[in-house]
Amino acid sequence: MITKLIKFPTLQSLGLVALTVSQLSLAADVTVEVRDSKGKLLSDAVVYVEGNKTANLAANKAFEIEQKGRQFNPQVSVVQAGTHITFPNKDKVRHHVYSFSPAKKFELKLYSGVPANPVLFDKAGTVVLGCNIHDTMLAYIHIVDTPFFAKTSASGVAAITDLPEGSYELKVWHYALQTDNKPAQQAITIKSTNQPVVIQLDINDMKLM
Amino acid sequence: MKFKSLKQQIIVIFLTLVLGIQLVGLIPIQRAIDKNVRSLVTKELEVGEKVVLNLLGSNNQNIINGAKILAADYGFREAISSHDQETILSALNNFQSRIRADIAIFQGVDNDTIAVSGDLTEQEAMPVVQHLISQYSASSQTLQFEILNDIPYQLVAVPIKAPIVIGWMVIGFEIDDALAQKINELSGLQVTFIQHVQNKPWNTKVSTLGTDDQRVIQNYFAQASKEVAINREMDVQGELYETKFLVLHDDAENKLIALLQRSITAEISQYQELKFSLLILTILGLGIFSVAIIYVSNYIAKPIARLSENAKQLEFGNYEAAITSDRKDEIGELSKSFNAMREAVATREEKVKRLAFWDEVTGLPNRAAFIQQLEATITSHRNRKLSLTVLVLNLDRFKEVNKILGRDMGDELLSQVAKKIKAEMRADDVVARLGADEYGILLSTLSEDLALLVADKLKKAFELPFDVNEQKIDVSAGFGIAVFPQHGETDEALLHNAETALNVSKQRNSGVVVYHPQFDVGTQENLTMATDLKSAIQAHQLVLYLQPKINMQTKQGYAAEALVRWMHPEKGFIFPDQFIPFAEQTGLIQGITLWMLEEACRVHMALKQEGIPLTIAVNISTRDLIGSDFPEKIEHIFRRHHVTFDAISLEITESSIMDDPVRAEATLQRLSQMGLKIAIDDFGTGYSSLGYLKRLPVQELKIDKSFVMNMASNENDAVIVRSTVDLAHNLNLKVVAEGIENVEAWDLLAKMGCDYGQGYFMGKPMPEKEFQAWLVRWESQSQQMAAETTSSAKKATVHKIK
Repeated sequence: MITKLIKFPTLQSLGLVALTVSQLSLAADVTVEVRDSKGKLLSDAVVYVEGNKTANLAANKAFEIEQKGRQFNPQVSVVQAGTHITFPNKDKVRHHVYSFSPAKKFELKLYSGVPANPVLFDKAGTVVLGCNIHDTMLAYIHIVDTPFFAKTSASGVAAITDLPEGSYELKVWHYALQTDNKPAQQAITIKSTNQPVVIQLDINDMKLM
Repeated sequence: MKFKSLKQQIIVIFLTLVLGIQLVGLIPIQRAIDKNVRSLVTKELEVGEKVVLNLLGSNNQNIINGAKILAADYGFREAISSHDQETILSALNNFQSRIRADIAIFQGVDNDTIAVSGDLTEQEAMPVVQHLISQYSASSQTLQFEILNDIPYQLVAVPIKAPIVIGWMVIGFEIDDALAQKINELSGLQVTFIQHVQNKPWNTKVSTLGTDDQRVIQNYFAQASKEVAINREMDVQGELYETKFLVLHDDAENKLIALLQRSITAEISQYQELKFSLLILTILGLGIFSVAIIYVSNYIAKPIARLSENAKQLEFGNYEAAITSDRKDEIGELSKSFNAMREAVATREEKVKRLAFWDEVTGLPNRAAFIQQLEATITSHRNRKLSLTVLVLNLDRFKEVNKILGRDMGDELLSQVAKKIKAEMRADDVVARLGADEYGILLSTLSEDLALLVADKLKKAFELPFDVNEQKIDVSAGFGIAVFPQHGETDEALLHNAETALNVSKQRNSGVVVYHPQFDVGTQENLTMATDLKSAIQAHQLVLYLQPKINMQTKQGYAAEALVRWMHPEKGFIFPDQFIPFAEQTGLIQGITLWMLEEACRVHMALKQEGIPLTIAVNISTRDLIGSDFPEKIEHIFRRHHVTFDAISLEITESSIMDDPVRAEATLQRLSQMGLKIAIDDFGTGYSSLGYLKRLPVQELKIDKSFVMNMASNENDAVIVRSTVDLAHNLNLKVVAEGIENVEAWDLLAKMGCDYGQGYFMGKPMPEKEFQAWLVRWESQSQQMAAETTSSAKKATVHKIK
């Protein structure tokens, strides 16, 4: 059922997918619009491309997911594998952040302020964050093996910039996907100028935060 | 239903009524109890159902709360995330024993992990868990029941979150007797869980009912179709249960139903006591009422029965016993009225007795008393072979005395007569007044001869005038005698025969007459005559005869009196004196008079055509005069025959006018006004005064033939005739003399100035056909008479008959 809804070759042949590539700098930007099966624009969808050129690019960026008002912020994050994430507690109460996700199991036992050591996320996958004290606190971290990623804004559009021309695999993940956490993917060729890509995802509305 | 007495009636009616009311009252009570119990039971059942659902719901919540604790346990979740099967299972075991659950299952969200604690395999648990998860809703916890390995469970599924759902926990509690007992304690209902697993028969696993009762329920389900889930009354071994079916689980293979039951029978039995009390009250009330009713009915009916007894005494003529009652109510009043009635009846009977046997005018015993005495005497005489005589006497012309002298004088006369009779009789002879002017004398032990002597003696006594209020009145009487036993064996026959003899005496004017059996034959003949006479007119058996009436001055005969003759087919020629008095008595005379008028008119017209203008006089009777339509009838007849009113004249006897003078005068006035000439017949035999006659519209007087016939020999009669003629002339009346039988009489009357004459000397009554011939003869005779002033008269010895 779900696979039937995502028909990438068909989309392509219909000309629904377009890429915009910058020819002058040999690097291009690509815009991806993500909608659910009913055509509604989706925010917090993680969009990234993978290819030969992306494999061994190191990640050294630091990342921060704060706890404020008994909520994780941001609730959905995308980071390149190898990123260290700090979990500063900006509430007055203490939190006990944990993850039982196979991509990264950890726990930061009851703390306030900024924990001493950031947590390294070195394995691609999805990590679900919780707080052992506050059951309602929930956050997702999608860890990818590529530096070319973005997250759709409230308008459902994400832009990946400075992407070298070439052939890639475009992957789109959303925490409320019907399929068991598997991102949707399709092959794209990046040129100097690229048409915006429209991706439709099969979303389980019940899972939406 | 028929009652013998008022008392019975009151008792039966009122007791029936009361009993009826009580019974009728019991029906709605019974109905109300029934309805009440059912609605109570239904309500209890509804409440019970809520209690049960609430209990199960709170059970559910308790399990959920317990499960949530485990689900939130960090270590447990860590064990799950690390797929640590051993730890998961031990945690489940620990948890299960802690909350005393029968089943605890964990299943990972990826279906990769399953841990079961309890008497269940993983394969058995899987589908159930899947089903529960699919039914799960965070907002509303529905009660979930499953049958696992033939055991019914209440199950709860709780998600385990970290913080998204990473697995499910399912906790199960066996539905057991403890639960059933708890439900029973809380709701007061009987509860039975019945289940149906795959194709196994319906089975009651848990129940508060006995095993026999459970079997009944199992049978009920076995027999019922699938549509069992309706509330209904269920009869479980004689106990009626209002039953609610609570379907806890129903899928293709398994069914679990909870039966909540409340006994109607038990509830109703609580009212038995009430019903019993009511019954006792009814019986008690009925008893009290019976006593009251018997008392009241006695109070009412007894005095009535006593009054009835009193009335019976009155019926037997016993008026002596006074009827008393000291009661002040209606019955007291009734008793008083009864007593007053008793006194009044006694007084009245006394009076009636006196009246019944006593004549107040004469002071003599009356007819009833006379008959009683006669009867008694006959009875005693019959045995002793003695004879007795009944003598009856009747005053002549008493009616006239009464009319002329007045009733008081009449009564006085009757009293005088009574005295005179008493004076002539022996002391022990019974004298009674039998009727208006009839007296009866019972001459005990007298033979016929002696009786005749007594009668003669009485007759002689009557020859002296009676002195009534200083007036001398001459009264004669007729006497009839009947002798016991030869003239009658009974009082009735004897009196009747004496009266028959009296009648004969009156008819013949022959003084004392002794009864003779022949008299009765005449009476019999009279009866036949009545029938015959009725048909005589239609059968043209009556014949009109004419007797000429001669003007004594001119000697001309142009008037005649019409006389009737009866040609009887068997008896032959019958003279009027044999049937006219009878016709007058029976009323047949009216028909005869009309016939006479018709015939007279016809004859008149017939003779007129012959050139003979004959005025015909027709006799009319008392009854004609009394009939008010008589003038109209005459007018009708005249008109029909085209006869003028001077052609016919009417004759009426003095005595018939006197029968009813007022009406007679009125009728005569009308007839006179019509132009009819009226003559008074038989003048001198009655008591009419000339003064009275003067008032009547009369033109003629006919002097009675008895005076005319004796005129020659009796100077008195001659004087009467002469003075009558003079008187009549003074009153402007014409005079007719009847019974002229010889020329001497003719001459004498002519000399006296008599206007008309009638008699055998001039002509006998003759049929119409002979009249013309007679007229011729008469004319020659009259001329001869003129020639010889005295003539040797024809001897007319034939009795004149009219």
